[in-house]
Amino acid sequence: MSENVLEIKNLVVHYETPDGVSEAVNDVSFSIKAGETLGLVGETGAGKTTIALTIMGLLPKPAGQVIEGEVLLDGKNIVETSRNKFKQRRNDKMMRKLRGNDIGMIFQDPMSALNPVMPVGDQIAEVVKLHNKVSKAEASKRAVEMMELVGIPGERYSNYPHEFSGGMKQRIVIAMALACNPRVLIADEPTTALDVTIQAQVLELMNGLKSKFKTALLMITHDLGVVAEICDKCAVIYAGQLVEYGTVEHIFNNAKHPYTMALFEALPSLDKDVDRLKSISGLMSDPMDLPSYCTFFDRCDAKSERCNELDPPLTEVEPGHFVRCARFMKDKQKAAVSEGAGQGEVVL
Amino acid sequence: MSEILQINNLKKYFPVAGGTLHAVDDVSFTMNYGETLGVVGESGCGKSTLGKTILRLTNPTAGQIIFEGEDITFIDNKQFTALRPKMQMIFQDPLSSLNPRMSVSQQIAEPLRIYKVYQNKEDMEKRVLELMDTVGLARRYADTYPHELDGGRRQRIGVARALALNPKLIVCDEPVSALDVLIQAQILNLLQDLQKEHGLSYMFITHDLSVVKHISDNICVMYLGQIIEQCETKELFENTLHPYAKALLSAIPVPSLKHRREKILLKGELASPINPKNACRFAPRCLYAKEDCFESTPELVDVGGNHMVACHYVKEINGL
Repeated sequence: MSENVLEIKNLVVHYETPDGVSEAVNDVSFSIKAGETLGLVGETGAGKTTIALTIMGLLPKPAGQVIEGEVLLDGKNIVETSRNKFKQRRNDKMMRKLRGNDIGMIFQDPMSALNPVMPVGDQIAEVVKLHNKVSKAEASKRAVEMMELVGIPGERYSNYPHEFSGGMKQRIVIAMALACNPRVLIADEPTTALDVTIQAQVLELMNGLKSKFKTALLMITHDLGVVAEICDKCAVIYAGQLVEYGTVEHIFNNAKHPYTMALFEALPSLDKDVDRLKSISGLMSDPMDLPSYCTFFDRCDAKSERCNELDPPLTEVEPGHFVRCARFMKDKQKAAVSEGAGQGEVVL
Repeated sequence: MSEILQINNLKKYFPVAGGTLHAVDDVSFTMNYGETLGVVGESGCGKSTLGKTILRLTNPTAGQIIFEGEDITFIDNKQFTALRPKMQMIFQDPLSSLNPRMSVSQQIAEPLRIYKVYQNKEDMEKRVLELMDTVGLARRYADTYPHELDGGRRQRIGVARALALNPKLIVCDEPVSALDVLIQAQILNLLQDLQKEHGLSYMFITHDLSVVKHISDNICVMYLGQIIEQCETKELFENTLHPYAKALLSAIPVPSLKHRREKILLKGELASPINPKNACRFAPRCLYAKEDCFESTPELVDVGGNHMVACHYVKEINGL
């Protein structure tokens, strides 16, 4: 197996606001290899987009701060945990070179990701010119190539974004993200704003391009259907923590965490007929005020009396399948947690 | 009489630069009391315009809307005011459909106040609290404002407002699209419970086929302003006949690794609804399109068992 292209280790990100500290991401670790796709699933406010912004180095400053952890791109750390201004500025400078070149990003809403007063071809060429020593003509040639690769005729180079439909705009954003052959592509809800038939086209395109360019793809979505369609691995995030992590087979055929199971049961199915959907009451814990115990405790229907004392660590239940739930904790971890020795060490 | 709503050849055209936009073009259907009719289609197919036209939030261009045996197509606003309590709407985005400067109880009381249902304040307050209980909003939220609540609770305010005047028909325009799956399940369950308790009829507009399958009795599939397939929910999912409906069904990402279905990938995108030609509107994207598909618009015909399809070659394609 090849090396991990992107590796996130024990990432902790906080937003410091006038009302207090919002613990957006708490101890998240995962990794993606070349040509592999990881689906990051969770509800609104779970911390999915914060993870993407951290990898891109685009956390809103000064509120967003990486407290701990590493983001390794080909083994090299690219986040700065220090608050030192000079160190941060140096990191920003480095990130500016990486963004668009080594890490590409596809945003949810293609209309707001494109410049409305610039022809789309020039927008793609701009990325190429910024990162490579090429002439204007060469950059334009590359832009036309990229447009044709995503299924847009090159003659439309000088059209403006408003002249394209939603699906085509998203194709242009994909062309822009892939123009410099990035090794990591982050797609933040790339198909949420699109219709199903167009979504199917775009997913097909991304699948093809991913295997062609051997890009590591981080797919952020709330649609489990999209995950089943395109991903190899899946991470379920809840209140800033990974609650379940494994291959798609692990998550779809053998989900263990009560939250993951609730997600599947709440979906209306096309194959089965149910009179009533199952849903769990309550809301996700407020990231400003996270409990010291399991964050899912209040909504869990499988909880036991010890669950509001323990903060369970991620536990490997089968090779490559991790669950954060007290029911699956090993005895050794239980002892460690109740002694107050902190979280059990888990290496992903 | 079991029909609550009958729509005959309804048309809604908008004049735009370069012609007329045919948003709803010759749509006919009937709805019975206590029934849920799902309207599915991609964005721009005219499903929201259809809902708004039926509630007379925009005026129809031509056709007939018969609500409880009364023709309401062209009655004036004054006459319609008396009918409005019977027909209500739940909107997609609960934040933009609520007044940010009104508290929850004021929002819910607004329709009661406008229609002067109660003579004194106490009765009205009592009714507002009752409505909050009905939709599962805790009474402690009565004095909060929409921005303090999450999406699911905001949508419950929208439902409470729609229920306030005891309507018979509610048009739900994508009521769960902006919500997370767990909240979506809560709201769908709430809508189903209310339907049973109050005998409501829903027209449920959505682009999500799995939601529509869950909640509807009958389904209309729309494409560029026209209904192209219409039948019972079960029939549609077991025996899809129109090539567009087939592609739409196959394109839904299924959250399961076991039931991989064959995908029909459509080429291209929705054509322009401005000045459409007399042709099958789906023909440019259709896998089976032949010459005469570009020459005449297919009629919506019954192919047996109340299954209506608008396609010239439905028999050949499906081997009927």
